[in-house]
Amino acid sequence: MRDKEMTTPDVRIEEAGTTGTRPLLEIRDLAITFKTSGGEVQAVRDAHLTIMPGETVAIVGESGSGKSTTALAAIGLLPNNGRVSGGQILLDGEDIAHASEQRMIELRGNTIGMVPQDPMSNLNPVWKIGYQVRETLRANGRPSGPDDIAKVLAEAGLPDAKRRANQYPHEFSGGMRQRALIAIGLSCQPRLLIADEPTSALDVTVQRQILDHLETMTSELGTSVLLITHDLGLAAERADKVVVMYQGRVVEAGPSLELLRNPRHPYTKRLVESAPSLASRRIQAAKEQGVETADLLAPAAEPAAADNVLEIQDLRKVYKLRQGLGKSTDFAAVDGVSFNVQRGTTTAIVGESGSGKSTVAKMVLQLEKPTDGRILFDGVDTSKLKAAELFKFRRRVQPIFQDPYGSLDPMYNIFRTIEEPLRVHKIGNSASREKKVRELLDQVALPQSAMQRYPNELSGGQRQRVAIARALALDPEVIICDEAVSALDVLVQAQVLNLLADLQSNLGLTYLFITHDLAVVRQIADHVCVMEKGRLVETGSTDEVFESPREDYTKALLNAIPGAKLMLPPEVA
Amino acid sequence: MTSNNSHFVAPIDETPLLATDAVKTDQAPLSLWSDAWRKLRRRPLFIISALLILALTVVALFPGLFTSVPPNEGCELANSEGGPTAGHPFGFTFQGCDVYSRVIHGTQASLSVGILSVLCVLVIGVTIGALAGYYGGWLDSVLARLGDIFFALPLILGALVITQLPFFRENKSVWTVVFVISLLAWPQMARITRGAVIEVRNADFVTAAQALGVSKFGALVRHVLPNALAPIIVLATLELGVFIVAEATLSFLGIGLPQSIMSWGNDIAGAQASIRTSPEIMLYPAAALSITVLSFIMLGDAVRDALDPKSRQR
Amino acid sequence: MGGAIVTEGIFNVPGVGNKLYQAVLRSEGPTIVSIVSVLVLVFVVANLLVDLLYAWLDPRIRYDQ
Repeated sequence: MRDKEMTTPDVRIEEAGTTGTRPLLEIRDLAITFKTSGGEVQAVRDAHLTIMPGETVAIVGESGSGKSTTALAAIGLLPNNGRVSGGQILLDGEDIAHASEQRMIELRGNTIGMVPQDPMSNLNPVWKIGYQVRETLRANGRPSGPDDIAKVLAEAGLPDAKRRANQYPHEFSGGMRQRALIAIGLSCQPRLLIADEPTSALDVTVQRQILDHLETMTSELGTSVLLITHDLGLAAERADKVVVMYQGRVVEAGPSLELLRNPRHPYTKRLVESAPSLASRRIQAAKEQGVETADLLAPAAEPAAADNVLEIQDLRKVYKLRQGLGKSTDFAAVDGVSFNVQRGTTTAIVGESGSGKSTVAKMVLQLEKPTDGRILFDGVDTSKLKAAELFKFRRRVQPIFQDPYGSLDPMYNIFRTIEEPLRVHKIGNSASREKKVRELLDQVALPQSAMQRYPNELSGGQRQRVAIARALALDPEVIICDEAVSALDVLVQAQVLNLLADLQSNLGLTYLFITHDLAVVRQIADHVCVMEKGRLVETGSTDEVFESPREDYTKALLNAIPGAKLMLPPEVA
Repeated sequence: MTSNNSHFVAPIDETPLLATDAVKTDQAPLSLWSDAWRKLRRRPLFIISALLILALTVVALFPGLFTSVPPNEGCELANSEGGPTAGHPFGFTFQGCDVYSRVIHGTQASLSVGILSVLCVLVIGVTIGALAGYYGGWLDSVLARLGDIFFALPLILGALVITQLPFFRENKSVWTVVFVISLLAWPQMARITRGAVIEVRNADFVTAAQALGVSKFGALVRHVLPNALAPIIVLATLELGVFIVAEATLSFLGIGLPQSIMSWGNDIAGAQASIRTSPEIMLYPAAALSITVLSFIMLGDAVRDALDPKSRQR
Repeated sequence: MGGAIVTEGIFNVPGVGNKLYQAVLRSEGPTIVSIVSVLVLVFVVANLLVDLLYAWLDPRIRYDQ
């Protein structure tokens, strides 16, 4: 089977038109084992992929699928407890699966470059950027004068490279650090660049810029790229070929568009169906009807204005930034934001980091005091609530937070976690509370046996479902989701979004959904508010905003969704 | 199988599709503490130190089980610096008292000073550190400066000065020693607590609890403190050893426990007279002191490793 | 710091610690206070040097503020 693959002429080689038909990197039957306290664990089995010179290949998979491990094996940087237990890694015909450390050092930098995942932790904080570039250049025996360093940095798109080279990593923004890492990865003009989730920590617009730049640079240099990502849309947009990994195996591989349009393995099908960046409509049909009825009712109900469960009027939040002794400057995190949230609908606030969207959420939750402006909940100004009334308000408005690892107390088991709101509000006795907890677990599709478990034993998606159950315990009217699905794998994310949508139609909940991910917005929201630097840029119904955005910023955001332009036939699956 | 060129699909039976995000139910539930306990049980360092501490506690509570010779009676100058004889395995002090009996009876004073001081330091330090770290603001500033002042004063040097006050010179007892040690040692505990509390106070689960209607102080007690406990416990274990040494040092200098109380510090001071002729008299109480301190420090290390969040899975 | 008093006291090393030890035995308040003051000063200066060294070695601390 694999032989056939090798002998079948690849269309893309001719397109690329580069030297010869021999693959630059070929991985055959690769198996990787890790030694753990529980014995040997096989992380990767039978992995195979081929990269032609000048080609970009993406490995797509969820966390734990073995995609990063495969790439690390190719550059000989497996963790100490991991080893290649079978198969071959052929780099230009040479098997480097068991190459000596000496040989790998020769290859790294010059032949294989690497752009690691996390720009925050992959630059040494105590050395200047320029020094770190020079280290790479020197190690590979290239000229490393100040001008060479500046040139390398400038090529990666860092403005004012000479001055920047003399700065420390903490003086750089996330995007700039990633550029510096790309500069280091490409500084010695390797023939293969391994980019491990190079932009997953960055805002979408920055992600787009960086990927664009990476693409231009590698095509100029004729570098092959092995791109590792969890985002199928991004992979399809950037790569010639996509390799899908699941549970340590390659389940499907092929030209990207072909694979997207015609996924054959059930896992890939599932992935294509739930990839948020590719979906064009709201996720479930039942909800669709709900929207229609709401639309029909809307004109009649609007004059009454009772429909608005939340009214936010000219909200402002100013923080004092300390600047040395006694001095401070004002920083408006939220500046004159007004919008309404209709009962039973989902309103999304979209923005990049620093746009003030989370601050709005905190103020609506009464966890921060607004500097100015009003928040009306059911027509009542929330800033004027007395302690007892605030306590009652808390029953009606509940949050779900972003980080599924941080939002549950690690000391509390699942039962105590979900029971806590009931206990705090003195609802029922212990028997009735336990019954309620069981019901809630059913609602979020968790087995009742999970009650005695602790958060560290659950996966991210499961924790998020526990957080949803906790939020539902008090039968609230409004739920505020602050990046509630951002940290989850695609399939799990789709599952949680579906759950949220089901709960909305069953319980008539209102959601205020804070997110940076426009793709998610399209799936869940009725109305969108786009925020930039503390200001509200654009509001409207989801369809309006997505189909005819008025503001440039909104357009830029929409364009930056990876894979947005890959139009797929509607009946993909 | 690959009909279309280079479009590879793995056979489905090789990687059957699992249910998305299924809950594992094959293991017993594990809380942080039971997880730490499981890890501790397997560490030889912990087992050895725990056994030693257990033995020391038994000795401190029931010294009569280990020696029938009363420590201060039957001291005969005729036995001064005498070597080991039957019933007196460690020999005699300069004053002719039984060394073995004195070492056994000294355990109680050393341990009780250590434990009482740690308890006082925990109460003061944790309260102040938690309030300062959690509420911040002026309270934090005032407490931080106050802590800095005490911090600049090494424990023993500070104690030297304080014990010169007439009140302390006239009322030497276990309690004055505990008071002096606690007074000088709480800032470190407060500092560690403050750091741990600051780390936890911004966690989402604390915000979530407040959004549920838990009061600010309630969230501190219910969520923040239990999660900040690990470094506090580690420091308390380590400080227990440090305080026992401090007590011995002060007693050695004659400003700690009064002569009437049997303690290793007093024994070491007494043995100084015979340091040149029979140094082994000093060796026994010093060895007892070293073993005690070592076992508490080993315990602290083992507990630190077990509670280290980095070593926790997932 | 505390260790010096004990070791110098026991082994009769002619140092500041021994002086302090003798003063404690004789309850000479002023001598104790003055020696302790000098030692605390040394301690504080050493701590300050360590802090400065940290700032010198770690640019993140230097650029804060």
